[in-house]
Amino acid sequence: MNGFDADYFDGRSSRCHPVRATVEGTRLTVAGGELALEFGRDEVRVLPTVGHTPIRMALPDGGLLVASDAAAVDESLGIPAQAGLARRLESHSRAIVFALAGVVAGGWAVYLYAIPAMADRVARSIPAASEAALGPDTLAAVDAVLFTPSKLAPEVSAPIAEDFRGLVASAGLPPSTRLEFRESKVLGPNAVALPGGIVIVTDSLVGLVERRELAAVLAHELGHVHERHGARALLRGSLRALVSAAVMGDLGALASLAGSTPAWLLQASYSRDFEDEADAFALDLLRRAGRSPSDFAAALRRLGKAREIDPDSDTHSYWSTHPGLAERIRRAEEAR
Amino acid sequence: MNEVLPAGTVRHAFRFEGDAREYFGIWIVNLFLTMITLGLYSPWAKVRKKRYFYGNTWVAGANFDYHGDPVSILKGRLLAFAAFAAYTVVSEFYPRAAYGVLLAAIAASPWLIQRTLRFNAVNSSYRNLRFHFHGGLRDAAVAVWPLALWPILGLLLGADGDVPRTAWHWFALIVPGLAFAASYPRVVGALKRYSVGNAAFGDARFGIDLPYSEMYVIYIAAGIAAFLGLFAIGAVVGLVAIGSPKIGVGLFWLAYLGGIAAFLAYTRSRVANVVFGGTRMAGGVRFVSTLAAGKLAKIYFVNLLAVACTFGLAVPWAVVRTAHYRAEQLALESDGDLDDVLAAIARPVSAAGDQLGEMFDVDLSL
Ligand SMILES: [Zn+2]
Repeated sequence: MNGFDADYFDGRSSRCHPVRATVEGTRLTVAGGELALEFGRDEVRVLPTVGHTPIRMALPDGGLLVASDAAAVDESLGIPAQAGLARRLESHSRAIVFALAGVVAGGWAVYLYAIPAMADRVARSIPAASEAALGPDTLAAVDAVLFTPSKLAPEVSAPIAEDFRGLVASAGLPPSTRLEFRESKVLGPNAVALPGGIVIVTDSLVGLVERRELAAVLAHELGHVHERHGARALLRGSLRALVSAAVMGDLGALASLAGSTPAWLLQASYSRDFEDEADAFALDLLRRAGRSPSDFAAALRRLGKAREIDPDSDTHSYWSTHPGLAERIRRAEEAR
Repeated sequence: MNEVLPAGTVRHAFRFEGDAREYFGIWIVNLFLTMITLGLYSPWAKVRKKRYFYGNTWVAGANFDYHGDPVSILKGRLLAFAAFAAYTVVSEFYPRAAYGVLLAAIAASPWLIQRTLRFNAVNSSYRNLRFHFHGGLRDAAVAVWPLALWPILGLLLGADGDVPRTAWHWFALIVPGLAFAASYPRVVGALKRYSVGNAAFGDARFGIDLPYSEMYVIYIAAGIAAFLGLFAIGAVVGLVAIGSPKIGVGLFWLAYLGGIAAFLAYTRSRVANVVFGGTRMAGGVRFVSTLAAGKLAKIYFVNLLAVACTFGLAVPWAVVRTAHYRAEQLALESDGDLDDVLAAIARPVSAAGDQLGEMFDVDLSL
């Protein structure tokens, strides 16, 4: 004779009846207080459980038995395997480790490969006109946080703008591609390509490098424009936020929001593969425009030196902190 | 310190018995299954997780249970996914049409809200009695209609996605936004009135007394605090950043997280306290919610840090500790023995009156 203590809820009121359930042969009796019920043992349905929540048993009269002693219930009634499969998996340490490894590997693959691939596909399907419409918005947004107006005299900026137009023509980019001059305390000597084909160059960069070298830097930025890195990075970011929100719910969305704050925007750099793509494009463009790829090597060297002199001032300049600076210089020198 | 209750008043605190380590196993296994089935398992995962949280929530000696059918949830999710995909495509290519899609979503929202509330109520039980939801479509529409002001005004004023350049541009951008901000506390309050006031435990209806002015007080205070907070953070971080940009950026990120945590904690705790405080059941059963904004903000802040630093693996730990605190701060009060009172007021609703004839259950809550 086996049995267990339980709470019985009849389903007709919310009253809780503490009872003792006893299994004898094919019969289950439920007794406590004025209550004395009897059911066929096969009529009792043990419901699936999650974690260490109590075992629930549905009775044929619409009543419910709730018992905390899972072992005693299993011994007297037998918990059917299908009622506990998910639970066993969820509490089995090897299954948990396996799932953890799978999720980490899967998450890694999705983050590194699936999302970029998907974002690039979407980016390719966006008409250039729609992307160009993004430009002014983005410029206004970064103007508000990062930039102050340029103080360059027209006789300094005009030749640079002329070089830029020449490069745009050689690259076969749309004439809507344009150059903006700004100054930035945060970014220091820097150049930035925004989605929609707007390239920004800072006064400090103009002051740091020669005119030929600046053209090489602009060619690199035009590489970002040509390969649509702005839109692709934007789409990657929002897809990542979307996926983590879907997977983790509320908290995941918030955390990924935290990861996409203006704080990261300040240090925002394109991923390594984008930089390499832009470099390759720049070297090719310089050759086509009748310029020398070594101008690009010279610009990189100067930017690297500026960092050595004052290591803290341009922490945010991805031009100089970018890992593999020496490698980039070497490639530029070899491209003749 | 125990609060002194009036004679005859019985208080039962809610209790959450979930365990972070145990929930991690449930969470990761279900996440894995969801991943390898490309999301198709997610409704089953959701039901497992809901059942864990319901089953571990106790009050007055009994726990809750969740009975949602994963297939119904799958249908709802496929519908939502299709709608979202349509919205993304449309707004990508026709930015002006985004307002139209938003309007369509708002037009469908009373139906979605009603179905979701009913699905959740009918599939929740306590002491083997199901909850129910009696709210009608009309009342849902009355609750959410002010939200439609935003896109309607936007369409009327001809606002588009561009950066404003003229005074009229600014006007067309700001007026719909202001209308939205001004109606938001009212909509939150109306939705709480709708969801609580139409809910029932068995056949025992809940009632709610919730003045809209309370909602306005909460959101105006939160808005002013957020505004001042932004200035303070900006000033401090700006000063630090002049000295060292590296520390400035790190500090900005922390302040940003802290700001989100504080804002959410303040609004959520105050709204929960006011809503529960105004909720009544027959027989004098009432709720007491004592969430402290500061304590909750600390919990949220640590949660966000932990989740961000572990790439999401700390989510189970974070939601369990939040559930512990939220349950601890909630209690049921009754005059006399709660078991007697509940047994006297709540009877089951006959099945014919409610779920039967329900062709399409929808649950759109994530
Ligand atoms: Zn670059």
